[in-house]
Amino acid sequence: MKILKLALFLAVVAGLSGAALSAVYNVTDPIIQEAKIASEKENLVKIYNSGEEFKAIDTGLSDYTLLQGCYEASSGGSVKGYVYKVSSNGYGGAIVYLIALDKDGTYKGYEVIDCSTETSGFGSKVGEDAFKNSIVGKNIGDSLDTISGATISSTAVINGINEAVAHYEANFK
Amino acid sequence: MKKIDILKKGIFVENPIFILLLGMCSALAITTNLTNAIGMGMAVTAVLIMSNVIISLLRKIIPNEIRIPVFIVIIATLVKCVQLLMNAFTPALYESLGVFIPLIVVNCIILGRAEAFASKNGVVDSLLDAIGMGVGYTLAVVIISFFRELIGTGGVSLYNPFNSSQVIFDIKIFADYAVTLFTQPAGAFITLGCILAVVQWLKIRKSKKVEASK
Repeated sequence: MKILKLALFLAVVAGLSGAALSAVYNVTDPIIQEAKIASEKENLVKIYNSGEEFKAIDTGLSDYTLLQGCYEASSGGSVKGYVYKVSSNGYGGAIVYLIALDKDGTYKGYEVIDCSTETSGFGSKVGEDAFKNSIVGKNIGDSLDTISGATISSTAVINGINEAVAHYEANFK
Repeated sequence: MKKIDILKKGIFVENPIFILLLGMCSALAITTNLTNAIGMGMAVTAVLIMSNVIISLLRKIIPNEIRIPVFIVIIATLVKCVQLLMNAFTPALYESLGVFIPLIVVNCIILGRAEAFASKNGVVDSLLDAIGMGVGYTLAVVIISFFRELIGTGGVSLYNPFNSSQVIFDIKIFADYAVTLFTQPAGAFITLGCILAVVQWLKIRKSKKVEASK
């Protein structure tokens, strides 16, 4: 009898704690999401226009190790495309970049946020316009060319893009 | 015990870091700069005040056999609330403190005060005890981080925890001669060791004086 009483007391305490937590979560979650998007937005507007709305999406992201975030771009309620924040391991460390997959089935944009760990003059080419132009405009799923002299870095980027495509196909198609 | 003594003992006589040597893990890890130390101090103080008050209020109805699990559930809930609030309102601080915010749950100062003080004393006394201990902790980490940042980077800086772009002060004194070791964990141990030695010296000197006057 005693043990039941103790278990019940603990259950009540845990239940109340859960209720308090969910109340705090409800208040803070929108602010956290907003702050997260605000910090990313300066990069997002390089790909989509600033007038568009961005919404963070979490669905299924944890199944993909390289994907750090996913943002849905929409204007006036209709979805225009999805921007993925990807971090893949290059030659010297993590290369962080955004890849945008448009609803019309093409790569809409590619912006490198950080490739400072790559060898300058070689791996750093993944952050240059030539590489960007070789991606943007292609159809999603087309094979992308690596850069000679920067094979490891560009392969890492392409692997990340493939993960983004896999997530896109699985969740938004 | 007088109310003011309860408040004061946490700051000096029973300072959690320098005298009781509780909660050393976070005190060593987050004291790389002043902003982190103040942010962590505020977070720990907030959790400590809330947990002491709640546990003191509930001390008569919590069954003795399961008091520790109940304390832990209450503390964990409060820490998670503080973590969510920090993530929302102090994002930069949240990033730089990282895993040490959720680890406040296992900070022995908080469970220690719940078990040793709040579960045996009234609400007002527990509140004063929590404020004293919280201020004592904050003071201690601020002192450690002041020396670590000064020696490790050659200057001291403080940013507004609620808005990381707002600089309160940023003084560089001898940046060219900074000893970066002091921003590393080993530097934390060296700094803490030296400060503890000074605190012990002061304590022994004081007790000798008291003896001599007898």
